[in-house]
Amino acid sequence: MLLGPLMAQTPASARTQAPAAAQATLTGSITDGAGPVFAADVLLLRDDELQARTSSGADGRYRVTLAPGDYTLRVTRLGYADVSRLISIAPEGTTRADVLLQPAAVLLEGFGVEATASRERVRFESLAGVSVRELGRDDVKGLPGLAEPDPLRAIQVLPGVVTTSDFSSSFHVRGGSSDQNLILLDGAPVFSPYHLGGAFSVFNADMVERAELTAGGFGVRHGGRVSSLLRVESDPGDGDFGVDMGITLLATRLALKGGVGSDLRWRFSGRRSYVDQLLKGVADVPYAFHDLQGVLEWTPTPRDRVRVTAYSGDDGLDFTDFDVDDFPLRVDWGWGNDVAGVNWTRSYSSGQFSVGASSTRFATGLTMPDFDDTDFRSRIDQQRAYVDVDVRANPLLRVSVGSSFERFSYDNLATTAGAIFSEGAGEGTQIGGYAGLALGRAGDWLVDVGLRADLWSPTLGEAATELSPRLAFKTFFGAESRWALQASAGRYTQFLHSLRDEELPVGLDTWVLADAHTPYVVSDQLQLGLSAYPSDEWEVSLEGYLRDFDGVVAFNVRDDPNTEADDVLQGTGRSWGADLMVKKREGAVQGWAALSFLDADRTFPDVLSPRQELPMATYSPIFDRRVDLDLVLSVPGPFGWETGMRMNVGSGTPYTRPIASYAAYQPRTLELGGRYDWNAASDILLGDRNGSRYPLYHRLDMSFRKTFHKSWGSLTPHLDILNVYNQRNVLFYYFEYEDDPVLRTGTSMFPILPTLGLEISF
Amino acid sequence: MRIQRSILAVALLGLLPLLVSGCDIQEVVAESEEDVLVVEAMVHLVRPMDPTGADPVAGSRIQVFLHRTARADGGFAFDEPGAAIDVTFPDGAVHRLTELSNRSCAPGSSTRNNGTCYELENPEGPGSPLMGLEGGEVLDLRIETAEGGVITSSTRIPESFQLQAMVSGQACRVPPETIVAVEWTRAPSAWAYITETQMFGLSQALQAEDVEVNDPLFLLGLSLGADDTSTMFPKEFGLFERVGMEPELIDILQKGMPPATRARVSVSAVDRNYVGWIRGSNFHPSGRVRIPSVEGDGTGFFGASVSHWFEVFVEPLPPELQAGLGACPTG
Repeated sequence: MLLGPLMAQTPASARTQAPAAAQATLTGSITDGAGPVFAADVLLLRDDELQARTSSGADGRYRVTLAPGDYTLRVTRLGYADVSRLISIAPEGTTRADVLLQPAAVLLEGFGVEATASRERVRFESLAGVSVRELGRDDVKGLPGLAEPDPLRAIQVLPGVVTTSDFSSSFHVRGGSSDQNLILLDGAPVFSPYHLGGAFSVFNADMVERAELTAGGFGVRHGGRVSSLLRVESDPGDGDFGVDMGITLLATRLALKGGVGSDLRWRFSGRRSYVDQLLKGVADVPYAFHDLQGVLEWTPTPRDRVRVTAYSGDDGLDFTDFDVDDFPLRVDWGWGNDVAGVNWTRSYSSGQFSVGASSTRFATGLTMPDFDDTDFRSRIDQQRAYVDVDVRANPLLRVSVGSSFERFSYDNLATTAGAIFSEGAGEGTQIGGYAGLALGRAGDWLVDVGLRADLWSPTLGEAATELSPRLAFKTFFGAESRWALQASAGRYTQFLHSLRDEELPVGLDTWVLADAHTPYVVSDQLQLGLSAYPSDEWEVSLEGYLRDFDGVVAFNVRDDPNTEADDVLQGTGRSWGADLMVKKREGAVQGWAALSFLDADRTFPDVLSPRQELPMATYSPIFDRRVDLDLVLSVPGPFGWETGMRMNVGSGTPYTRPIASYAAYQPRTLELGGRYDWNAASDILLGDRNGSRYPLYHRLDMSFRKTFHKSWGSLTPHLDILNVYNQRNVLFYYFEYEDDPVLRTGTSMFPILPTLGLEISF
Repeated sequence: MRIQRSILAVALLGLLPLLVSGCDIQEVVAESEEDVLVVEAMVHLVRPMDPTGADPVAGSRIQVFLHRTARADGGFAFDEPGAAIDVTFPDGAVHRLTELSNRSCAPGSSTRNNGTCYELENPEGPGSPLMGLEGGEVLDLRIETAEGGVITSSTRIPESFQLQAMVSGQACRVPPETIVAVEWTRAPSAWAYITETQMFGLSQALQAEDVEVNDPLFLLGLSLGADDTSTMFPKEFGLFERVGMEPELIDILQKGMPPATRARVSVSAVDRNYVGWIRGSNFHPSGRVRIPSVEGDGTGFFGASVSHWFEVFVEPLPPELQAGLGACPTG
């Protein structure tokens, strides 16, 4: 077999600390009642100083040599409660210490999590086929940010993730649209988690324990989106009272944490932008946002955990007090999310049971106080209840089953001056169920096979049932099973869409549900990859993928107003590519390089064709950034300053180049009797859709942070500089065909943008 | 504290110009433009048709305006003479349009923008082929340019419709600051109804309020879909002119028209091709993109509209109109 009978190891860092005269041997087994526990972290400490370290092998056994004496033996493993005990190692011979671990966890992709060890490493060893990338709160705060530390902006530095504009924190994963990412806050879906039209996410970094991105091949437990799964986990804190504050040029945030007894932990936060208040009397700033978030975790018994999460946020863009000379139209525009969720998890020695419910809503509305006939609004609601059961039948087999009931409704309207430009409303119910088998031995070979069934029942149209089989395989090889070859294949379905024009750099989603006139997305996906931990310090992964998307939609700009049947255009998509990641996990200098290659296309009816029966046109979507390189480094700086750096280089994204312009005439009945009026404007003719590409994108961001520890707490000032060398990356080109010669000008994305902030904790 | 706040405010304000000034991309010479023929072709029917053809403004016509895309050295000023333009009627009759020497298709054009106009001769005289056109009928267009380029298209005439509670081509009276409820019967194949108004006398009527306004004031309205057969005048007019209008004028027109003013109002049912050309396509940073409906060696549209119009006089009326003018429907 690939695994030896004993897989004890001593990391370099531990080896250097181990006394050279070690002669005694400590050995034992790590089990959990159902069988051996692989990859448990075994630490030997004396006076809280690490003396030696190893991990359990596939048979649960460990072995370590060190100097005789008294030690604290600490065993940790993702998904189990930590165990610590005092042991005495005899001067000669072998001392034996067996440890029984108790599950203490919630489910995450089919296995328990609650530990301080490398979660990614445990996933590598325990899960077949999936590629999960994780960023913790410190990662998020350490990355250079746009004023606010932002988990979604941090996600953009991961392999396979593409963003099309500095102005947006929305993202595309492996050729999927941004509405095809399932974003969960503590298990509750969030539809459009953005402030300021996408510039910032709604996730307050002080509340976030970690953000985990599964770029592809996620398991049967999750349905409803086809491209990626982003799980944002809140941190309820350690139960001790504490305060975290953050002040940036954009907003002020405050988070409080605490607990009641040893069973209840909580953390609440509030955040508000304050530029509008600060500049009152100096300038009118029409924009403000605020959000409130809270998480409460109750563990009435060691086996039970109840978590309640809530979020509410609103953005407002209010021009109603503006003078018409300063802004030509008085509008009041607001949008926001409301999310609430509750989950109860009970852990058993042989598995877990989890039940939960959530409610989520995204809504936006624009009114004009001067016109009571104007109403632009969009809303989507989702209520969800679910149950998941995970049973380890024997050491080689785990069984997962579950089901969910989800209710959706949406309501969109755009009307002004008596004209209804678009409207739509509807409801739908999704009943999902799944069963999965996870076979294999961690660190040896793993197979996940599962089937998900979704019944979608809209108010308009017939119900549809879609089966989504998923299969994943992983085999380990090399010394200490540090290398693995993995493959996964599966079908994914999605019953809702956003009709937002993704070519706009900022904007709000307009969600619609699949119904008689709007298809649902079916995506078949294949992943094949190689991942490795060549040493404890380094991690490497290379993964290729192939995806197709059937049933993607776009807003039909030439729809027949006399029928709802053609309100959306139906199309298909395809993408393939490869993602390479090299990550340095330990040491003074840490970071990673992520290199992504993507080739994506979309095929839709050509709305600019003069024909009545529209021909299909295939083009590269706006997010088809062929090559994208992210280099992220965390480096200790002088005088205790931590330096974060992100360098992003990407090939140009596609755009549609105008090929000519012409005088814009308008027929006039009254004034000109059907003849044409020219209002000195011009319109344009376009070349092939997205047939041109913007030039290479590159940007260097840096951050500098230093924490000053005080008797009462800590102060962390930070300076973030985006686009350090002021590269003019192109947002748009403009072509002036009336000039001689023809000129191309444009607008760039962020210029150099320094921002200051201060974090206070006590 | 006040000083610190001011410093911060100034610092923040300093960032805004940085954001704006840092956003320009250096201009460069681009590839030369393509030379494309643009076709703006319309079948414009006014109902009831004036059998005398006496009203040169409100008359029915078929016209084709040919112009070309801009060239770096000449703006939009390019004629397209010598084209052979045929319109085939439902009965199979082919009518060749006449090239006009003046700029009658686009009276407002200048030396910076013009083209060549072609029209059907005698569109409203006795025996005009337009007299016999029915709603739902299809006309075909074929253009052969002097250089041999060929462009074709078809348009479907929207069905005839009738104004409700008022008579097409006539006038009615309404008290000041009163909304006129304009309704009409359905034209089944229409994709939209374009409403227009020309308001007269506003500048004088609003002189006391110190409101600046064009006279006449031209405003557009829109009803999308064949079923949207009503609008409120003048409240729902000015859809595309609202941006930049004075708030006082907006407020006044939301309630009605001032005393002693008048307006002409038209309602036009338009076809698919017209709507596609007017409403445009997806956002593009370089300008509006229109949806064409002609095929071949050029771009453009061949649309159709059927129009009715009426006049509104706001009380008090001039003496010559005080008798015999019926009340407008109000809402």
